[in-house]
Amino acid sequence: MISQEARVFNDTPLNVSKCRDVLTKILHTVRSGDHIPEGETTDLFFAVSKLFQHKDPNLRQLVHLIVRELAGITEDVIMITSSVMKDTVGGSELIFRPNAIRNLCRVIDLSTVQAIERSLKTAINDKSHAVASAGIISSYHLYLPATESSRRTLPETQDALSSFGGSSGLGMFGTHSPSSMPQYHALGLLILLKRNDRNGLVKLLQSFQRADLVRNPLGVVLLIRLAGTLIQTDSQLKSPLIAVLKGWADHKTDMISLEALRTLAGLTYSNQDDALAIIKVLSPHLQSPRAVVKIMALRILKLLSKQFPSIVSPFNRDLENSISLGNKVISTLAIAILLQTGSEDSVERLVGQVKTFIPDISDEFRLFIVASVEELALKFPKQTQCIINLLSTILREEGSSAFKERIILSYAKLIQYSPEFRDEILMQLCEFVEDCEYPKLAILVLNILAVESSQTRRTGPFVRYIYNRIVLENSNVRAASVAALSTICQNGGDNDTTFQRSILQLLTQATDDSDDEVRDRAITGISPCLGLGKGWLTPKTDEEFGDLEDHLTGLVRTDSAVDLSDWQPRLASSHLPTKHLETGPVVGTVAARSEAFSSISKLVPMVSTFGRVWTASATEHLTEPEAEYVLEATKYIYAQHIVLHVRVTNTLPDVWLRDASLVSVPALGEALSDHGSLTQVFTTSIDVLGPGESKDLLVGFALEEVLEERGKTSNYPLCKLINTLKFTAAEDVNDNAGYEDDFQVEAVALGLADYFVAEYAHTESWDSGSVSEAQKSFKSTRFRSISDSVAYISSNLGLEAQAVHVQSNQLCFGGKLPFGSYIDVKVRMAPVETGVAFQITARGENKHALDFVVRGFLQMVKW
Amino acid sequence: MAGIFRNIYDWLLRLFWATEMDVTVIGLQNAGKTSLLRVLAGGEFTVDSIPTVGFSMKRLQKGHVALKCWDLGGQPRFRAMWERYCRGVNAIVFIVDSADPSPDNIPQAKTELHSLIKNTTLDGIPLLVLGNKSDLPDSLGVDDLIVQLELNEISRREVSCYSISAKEETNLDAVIQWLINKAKR
Ligand SMILES: Nc1nc2c(ncn2[C@@H]2O[C@H](COP(=O)(O)OP(=O)(O)OP(=O)(O)O)[C@@H](O)[C@H]2O)c(=O)[nH]1
Ligand SMILES: [Mg+2]
Repeated sequence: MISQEARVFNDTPLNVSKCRDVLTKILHTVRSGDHIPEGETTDLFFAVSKLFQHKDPNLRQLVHLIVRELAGITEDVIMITSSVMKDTVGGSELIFRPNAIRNLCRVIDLSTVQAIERSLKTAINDKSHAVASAGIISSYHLYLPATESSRRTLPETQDALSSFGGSSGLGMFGTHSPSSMPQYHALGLLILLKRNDRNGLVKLLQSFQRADLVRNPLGVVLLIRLAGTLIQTDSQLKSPLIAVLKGWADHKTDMISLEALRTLAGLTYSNQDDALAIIKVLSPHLQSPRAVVKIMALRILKLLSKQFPSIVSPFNRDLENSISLGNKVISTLAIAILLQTGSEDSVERLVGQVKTFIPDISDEFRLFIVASVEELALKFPKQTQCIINLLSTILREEGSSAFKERIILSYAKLIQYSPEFRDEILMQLCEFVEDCEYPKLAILVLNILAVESSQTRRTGPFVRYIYNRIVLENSNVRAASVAALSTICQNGGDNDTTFQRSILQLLTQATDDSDDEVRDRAITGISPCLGLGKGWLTPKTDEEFGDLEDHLTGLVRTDSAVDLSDWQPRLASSHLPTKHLETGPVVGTVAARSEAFSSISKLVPMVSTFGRVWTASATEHLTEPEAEYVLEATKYIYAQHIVLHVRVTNTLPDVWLRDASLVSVPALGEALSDHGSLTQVFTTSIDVLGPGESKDLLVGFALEEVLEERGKTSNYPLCKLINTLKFTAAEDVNDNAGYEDDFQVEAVALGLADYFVAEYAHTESWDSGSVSEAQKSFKSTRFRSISDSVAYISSNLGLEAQAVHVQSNQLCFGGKLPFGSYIDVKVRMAPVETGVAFQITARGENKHALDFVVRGFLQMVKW
Repeated sequence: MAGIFRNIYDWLLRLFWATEMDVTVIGLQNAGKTSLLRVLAGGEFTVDSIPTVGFSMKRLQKGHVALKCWDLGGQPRFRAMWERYCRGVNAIVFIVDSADPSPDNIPQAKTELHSLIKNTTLDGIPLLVLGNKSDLPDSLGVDDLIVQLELNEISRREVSCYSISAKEETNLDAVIQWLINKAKR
């Protein structure tokens, strides 16, 4: 179609206005996302490219606009490189010149990129703001494909930043004259170019923090965002930058002031006064007659109120008035803030307002409000009844499935936090499912009923609702209902065998269903209840399948008759990390690695004084295997030291790394984390790492010694080590310049499993005069069943079968830390609604070690 | 009424007087295509001309004839695209560096030329082969070019071959004359 119309491009003489019509049409087609068939784009592109001959500047500009769109679609775009380059020079009276410059980065390929560097530099230094902006933008887009080329425009960009500054100040309403646009673009490019150079960024910010140096408000917004990120990365910058941000917050341009306020509101403060100072500047914006300003101001207020709910109270009256202003966004935000900060006695009134308000607003806002309401219920448990009433009202409203799903999930959460409302909530869900138009939601509700109903006083009524689904719904919902019934049956069905038998009867009926999924679920649901085929119904673990496969392949190879009687699934031992480095034979790559380790550790004489290696971890990747630099780490634990061994591989074909070293520091402020006192005692570096080479780095830490009556131990850290590879990258071996770079990689976690070595469990030792004991109880939501958690703990701590005694809901094992005597551990587990409850008891001689085991266990299970 | 006469007058003028024609200039890289067009347009000859990436357009006004010359890049990656820019033009100019001593030069040029004009889309379009850089010692003459490029094998179109120098501006009038003649078809 389009290529047919494009024939006018070949006419002689050319009908310019007709061409422009067709070009506009094409532009519209492409921009509105319509697809042009592959074959047609090539034809179209060639036809368009011939228009470069025409002198009409408006036509030419349109051609450049089309090129911009087609550049991403057709590969022939390289053909017009010379033509585009030709259009980038000439006087500023040529309206298509900026378009041509912007297109430079689109038509270029890596073999020709150098040819355009000069054009870019000239453009960036041009007096015309449109040309300069175009040059900067082109360079910006070159950053990813051709970083170096982009980097070489840095001096010109810096010049443009100051030369378009002027000091004429901003326009009245902060409407910015287009002539300052290059400042915005230049700042964007500079921040991009310096993104790995924090000092450079700080300097950039410092040199432009005087408000009048950057005339373009968007440019100032960029600086504010930069300040925001810098504060996050360096706490020392916090107070000077807050001062700068406060200056901007007072700016008379709304955009700048609001951006600064938002950044300020997002920081954490120790003192409410800081928040009050922000509020003071914010309050005129809250009164603004302009809706956009008011909305943004409300957003900032909401952000701030998360930290200091009480500071909102002076605005309560205003907020309540805003609800009825007629602007949906403003009303929603106002309600959300009130819900977030409201006191217990205001809940009822707010809920009333929400009820009247919900029908009028769109879904996006409703989701927002449901989330706030849910928070409110969790905050004021006494108000749960009132909130359940609200939820049940709005659940009955017309609404999208996303909205209803959100309400159902809120219900599910409420059940967990206020179990006393379980029956009522489940009943409401049953009523909802009676005429629920969304199968997906019906399934969700059925799943909730399956799990929760057996915890209610009487399961009977729920079963009736569930059974109705089997009779009335489509096959997906029927299958979910059958699954729900069998769960209820297996959970014991009120411990009432007649009741259980009636459920079985319902399930038996379902075995005649027309849908095979429903039938299958019914059958798998019935069997365990009848005590049938217990073994084969429980899912096999992946390892067992792996073992079975190995066994069968073995049989095929040896050509013997198939006989599974001698096949025993190995107890998940295959994937356990090999520990005991000095005892027993070590397998495979671990052996190779430890050999490599012992040879390189000789380079650091200190290591030999650490004694023997207590455990060596499995090797873990710190990067994606396809990253530029691939890092793999192995932890070696000694009695009083830790050595991190990292193998670095440089996969880049043309980069040499000089002076590479690993900076490894404990992560601060992580929940459950305890970094003991870890002191770095040595670190090695790599002089030169050429393309394709792999070399090793070691970082050694000393641990704090703890002396106790009964011997000494160390303060073992339970934390993550944050790792950064620091180096100077150069483009050839002898290049002494290069640039410094940081490469952040994954953290390495230090947990109980790194220190604790399981040994044969002495069941008899438990009551035989252990001196000390440490104990802790806690819940974890990460496991669905006790067997889940047993599997997790065993594989994490490398508990071999002989080290574990699993009795009824109790895991007994024992082992040693690098110091001290044997430690006995008992873990009791009980299923609770939200997961599994644990009680861990450790007995042994050394109190410190016992405490450590308990803490480490808690962290391992919770993390 | 007056408007109609005006239109007719313009039309007649264009028909008999002002003529526009399309010419595509091709040839291996470094043959001197861009240099030749620059000189023909009245520009200075430059020694360090940059390779053409893709194509560029040069407009030449010779008397009442406007020549739109499509100057195509000669590097291998652009050769597949020559054919598209040759479709429907009034003449194809194929330029050879007649002084390049490398043994591949002429055979390569021959292969590219013949595989291009094999395309039926280009049937009947007159072809002008130019041996450029005649100012240099040991450059091939017209007779050698005709033999080595196997120009006699070409049928179904008018073929001419001149020896020129863009640098010394040798024989360029003949080129212009030949081209303008093709406009009067
Ligand atoms: N001595 C001499 N040198 C010439 C002549 N014509 C061109 N050159 C030189 O040949 C080189 C290539 O010229 P260009 O015109 O760029 O060649 P081109 O055919 O356009 O090359 P591409 O664009 O890559 O296909 C330049 O260094 C010119 O100075 C000539 O007549 N005599
Ligand atoms: Mg050229």
